[in-house]
Amino acid sequence: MARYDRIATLDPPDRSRAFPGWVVFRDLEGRDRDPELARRVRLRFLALRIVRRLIDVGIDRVPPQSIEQQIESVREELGALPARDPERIRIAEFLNRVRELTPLTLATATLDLGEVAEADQQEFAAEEFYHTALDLANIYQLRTPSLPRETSRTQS
Amino acid sequence: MAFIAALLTDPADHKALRRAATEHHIIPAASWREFGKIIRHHPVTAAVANPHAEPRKDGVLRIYHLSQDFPLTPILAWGELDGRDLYRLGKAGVTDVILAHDADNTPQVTEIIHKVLERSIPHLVEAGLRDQLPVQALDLVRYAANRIPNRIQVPDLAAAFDTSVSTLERRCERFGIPTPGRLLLWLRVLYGLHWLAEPGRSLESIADQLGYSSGAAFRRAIQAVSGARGVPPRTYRSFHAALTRFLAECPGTTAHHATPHVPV
Repeated sequence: MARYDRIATLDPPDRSRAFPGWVVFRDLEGRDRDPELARRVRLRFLALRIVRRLIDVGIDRVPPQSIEQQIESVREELGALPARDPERIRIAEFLNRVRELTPLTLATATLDLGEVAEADQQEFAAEEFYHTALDLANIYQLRTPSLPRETSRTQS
Repeated sequence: MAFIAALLTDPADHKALRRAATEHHIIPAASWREFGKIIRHHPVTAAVANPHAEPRKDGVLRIYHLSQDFPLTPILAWGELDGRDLYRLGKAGVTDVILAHDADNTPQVTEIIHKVLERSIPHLVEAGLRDQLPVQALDLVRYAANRIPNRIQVPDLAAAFDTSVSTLERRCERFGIPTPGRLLLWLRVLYGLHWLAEPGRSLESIADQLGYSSGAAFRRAIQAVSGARGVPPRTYRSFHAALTRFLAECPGTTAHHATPHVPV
């Protein structure tokens, strides 16, 4: 492959034109040859894809075995990170919460992961997690009173 | 049934795709060159490619070129894709991705393929007619729309519904949809105008894929349904305008149609 990358010079697509969850990869802009960062961003993307799938298809319409298989495949990929890596622990916790398959748990787990990304200055990942949680809240008509106190405060 | 072009080097991926897209016809390609040819010359509704299909070739760049030439043909990337691949694929305009470790998750792959095909003509037509046609009429239109790439003719349509051509014509009249001949003509034109909006296709190749003897014959078909001379501008707007006119010709009642039928 040529060292000059023609794709790198292209403008990033809008969120509406990119494939679901792609926006998290914008944290790689200018650093896409950093394999460690690319691995971490990919893990965030894989975690987010679970929620995006449940939004697009509907929580009740996704076969439980299939979503379980998807969660397990993300969990396997987490093995690429060191055992005590904070990101690994957070995503593993996220996967445990997502297993409950209730809109409220999904929304709060997604928001929490967004907060972690924001704290780590992964702004595009944070934005995408927040957008996804908002989409979920809109579709399942989650309102502020039904969200836990901490999350409600964060939203305002 | 849609045609899907596939550039997948691993036989396991091919099997997984076939399992997930049982109702569709997969056209396999062995190289990027063949893959491009298939998209250009076959009536494919979607394309699936592994960016690492050929060593020492930048598959993402090839997908970018294809997405520029065929912006209305969804392209799925499939394979062992690392973070950088996924970042570049998003920029290249890929419609969605199927990661190799998800290939055995058939419901997930089926969902992605189904979602991608939602932009296809049969789905657009069905969505536009759902509220105005009875179920049997919708079945008929859906069947016809799905088989335009297979060059379905009126006798085939009648046979599929276990009836004669004349009975099918009376049925269409009762359903408030165009006669079978005009219905197929409309659907061919819709497919053609949709493809015309893609810069990578020529009028001649589109005419050939739709079963017309020449580009001029296809132009006459457009004229027969739109009444306008010549080929409309090669934009998505032309397709959308034609789709709107077609939907107006399917009022779902036996009332007189406002648009006069032009003999072909």
